[in-house]
Amino acid sequence: MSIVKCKDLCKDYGAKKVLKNVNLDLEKGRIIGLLGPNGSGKTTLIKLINDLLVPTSGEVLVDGKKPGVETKKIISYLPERTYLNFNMKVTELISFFKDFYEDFDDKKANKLLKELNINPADKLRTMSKGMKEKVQLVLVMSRKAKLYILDEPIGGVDPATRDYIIKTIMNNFNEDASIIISTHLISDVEKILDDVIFINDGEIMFVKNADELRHEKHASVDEIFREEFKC
Amino acid sequence: MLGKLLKYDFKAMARSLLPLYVLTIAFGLFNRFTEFLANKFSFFKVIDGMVLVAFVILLFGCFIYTFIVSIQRFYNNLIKDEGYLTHTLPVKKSTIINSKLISSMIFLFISILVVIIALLVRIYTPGMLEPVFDSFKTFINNAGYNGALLLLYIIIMMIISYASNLLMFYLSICLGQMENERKGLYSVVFGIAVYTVSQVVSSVLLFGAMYLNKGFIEELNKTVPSADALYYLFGVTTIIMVILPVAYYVLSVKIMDKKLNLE
Repeated sequence: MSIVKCKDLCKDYGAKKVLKNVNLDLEKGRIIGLLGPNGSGKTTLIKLINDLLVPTSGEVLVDGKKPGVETKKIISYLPERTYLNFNMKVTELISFFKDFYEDFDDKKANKLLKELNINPADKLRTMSKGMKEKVQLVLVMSRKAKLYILDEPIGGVDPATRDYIIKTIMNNFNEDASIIISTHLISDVEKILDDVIFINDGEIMFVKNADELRHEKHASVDEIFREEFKC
Repeated sequence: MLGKLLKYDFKAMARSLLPLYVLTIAFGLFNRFTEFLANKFSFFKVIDGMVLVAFVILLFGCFIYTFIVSIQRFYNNLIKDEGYLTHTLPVKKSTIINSKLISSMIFLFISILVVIIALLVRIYTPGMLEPVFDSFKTFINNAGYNGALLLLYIIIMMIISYASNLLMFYLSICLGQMENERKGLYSVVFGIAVYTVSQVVSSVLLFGAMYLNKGFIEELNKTVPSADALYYLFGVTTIIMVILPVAYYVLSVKIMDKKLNLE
C-alpha cells in the first residue's frame, strides 16, 4: 500500500485554484523531494496531508486512511513556521511530545539537543529563530514515525547546520519510513533524495526517480530545477 | 488524552492569570494597611482612597481578564501558529474543545475564589462572618426545600450562562477561521451574527411557548402568579439557555472537524 495517495485533489482559496487535480501515489520507504517555486502549492499539499486544510474536491489517503486521529499517529510533521508555545521550556516541550506521541523517544531528543548545544532548561522565547527551528526539528525527528513531512526544514539556518540537519534526517529514520521534504535549497538535499516531485502552479509536472532524472537530462536536480523554472 | 490536554491548557492559562490573582490578593492586604494608616494619620486618606479604587478595579479585572485569557487561549492554540501543533496531535477535535472549555470553567471558579480571598484579606475581622452564615441559615430555613432548590437552580444557570458565553466566542472564532484572510475581523463579524441569531431564536422559542400556553401570560401578570405558571416560565427559559450552548458546541466541533482552514 502506498504511504500517500492523492486522487483528483483540488484546493481553492476563494476564486484562486491552488491545487488542480493532483494525482500522486507515493511508495513507502523513500525520501521524496517536493520541489517547486514559491506559490506552486507545496505547502498547501502538505497541509492537506496533515488535515490542516480540507480539500475542495478529491481525496488524500495516508497509509490507506483519510487524514484524522489515526494518520496523525504515524506522521511527524515539521511546518514552515514555529508552532511551539514560546513560553515553554525545551524540557516541557519534550514532555509534551512524550505525552501525546507514543513513538516519541526522549533519550534521542536529549542526545540531539546536546549535539546542537541547546540547553533543555532554556525557554523558547530566549532563543534565536534558527535555534527555535533546530528545537522543532529535534522534536520532529525524535519520533519513530512512518512518515516524516518536512516543510522547508533548512530554510532558516546556516550552511554548517544545514549539513548537520541533513545528516540528522538521514541517521534518524528507519528503513521502511518515508520522508517528504519540501525545499528551495535543492543542492543541499539533492544527494539524499530517492525521488523528486516537480510541482508548478498547482499541478504536478512529474514524479521521477532522482537518479533516472539526472541520467536522462545529464544534469543535477538543482540544475534541472533552475532550467524548468527560469524566470 | 483529555487529562493531558487539560494539564497543558491549565499551565498555559495559569502563566497569564496567576500573577494577576497574586497581585489582587496582595492589593487587598496593602489596602488594609493603607486604611490602618489613614485612620491614624489623616493625610494618608487620599492614598488610601486611590489604593481602594485600584483594588476594586483589580477585583473586577480578575473576572474580565480570566474571560479574556480563556478566549485568547482558544484563539492562539487553535487558529494561530500553535494550531499547527494542536491540530496535528492524535486527538479528537471534541476533546480539544472540551479541554479548553473545562480549563476555562476551572479558572472561573478560581477567580471567584481569589476575589473572595482578596475581600476577606481586605475586610476580615474575627466574628465578622457569623452574621453572614446566620442570615444564610435563616434564609435556607425560611425558604425551605424549594427555596434551596431555587438557589441551586440559579447558581447552575449562572454557570451554564458563563459556559454559553465562552462557547459563543468559540463558535465565532471557528466561523471566522473559515475565511481566507482577516480571520480575526471575521470572527468579530460572525460573533455579532451568532449573537443576533441567538437572540432571534430565543425570542421565537419564548413566543412559541407563550402561544402554546395562552393562559400563562395572564397568570404571570397577576400579583401572585400560580406555581404552575412559574414552573412553565422556568422550564422554557431553562430549555432556551441549554439549547443555545449545545448548538454552539456541536457546530464548533463540526467546523474544526470538517472545515479547518489553517493557512
